[in-house]
Amino acid sequence: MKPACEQALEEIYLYIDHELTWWRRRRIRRHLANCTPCLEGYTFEQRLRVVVKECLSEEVPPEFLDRIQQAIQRERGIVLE
Amino acid sequence: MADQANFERDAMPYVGQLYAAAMRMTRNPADAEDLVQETMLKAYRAYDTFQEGTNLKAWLYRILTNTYINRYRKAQRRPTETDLGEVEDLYLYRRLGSEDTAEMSRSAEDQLLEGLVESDIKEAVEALPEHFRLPVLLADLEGFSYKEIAEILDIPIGTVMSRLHRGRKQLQRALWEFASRRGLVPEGAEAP
Repeated sequence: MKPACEQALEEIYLYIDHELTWWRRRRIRRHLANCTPCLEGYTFEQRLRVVVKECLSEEVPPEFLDRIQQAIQRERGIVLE
Repeated sequence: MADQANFERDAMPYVGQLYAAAMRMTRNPADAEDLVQETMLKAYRAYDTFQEGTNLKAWLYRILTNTYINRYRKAQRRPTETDLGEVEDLYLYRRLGSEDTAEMSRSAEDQLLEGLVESDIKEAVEALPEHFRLPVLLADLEGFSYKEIAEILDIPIGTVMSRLHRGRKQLQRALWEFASRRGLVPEGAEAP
């Protein structure tokens, strides 16, 4: 693997997480624009991240929201008494 | 300082997200509901100490994770930590054998990403050891920054980065196993 690729891959998670400084972001963006294998690796990681996030969301039971509202209102009543 | 009278208006919109994180922490709906309810009550009681205009979502997650750690963790089974010495970066991608066969790999990627079902991913996340699972949830589900995660979990930012890094690798390894079992990996791609 080329040194430029190694350097880019080391920072790829930081790049995806938006944790790089502007200057380092630009360096990676330029590398990805010129290096198909790295771009493919990056694209895959991005897609995986989206799939994981989508699969982890949950439907909240509607009656649960009511229950929390009621619990807070009870708490408020206790404080007011 | 925030006004308790505004608590429901300000904080209720986060209940859905808190619940999703709580489900992955406690691994069952009844405990997740208890955890979120307790979190919301604690947050309500402490709301007059919350500095208005600062990060309410991070504040709520800090209460959620502290409550979870103090109350539920002791009773949980602890998955064993696998040795990650050999797991490389971009683990799944490399396993799909992409570097030389870019065209083939695109369909292999689609097959893997579209074939994994929701329960595989939930199970893989829930199987992570807790010190990896919490940072991964906070980053990949909730989109918190490293700095926010460090504050929520009360650990140094360097620790957040290394746990996230190792947690994600372990997650990818688990997903590879699910994918192999479902026949979603190309023939000839060796299981590790």
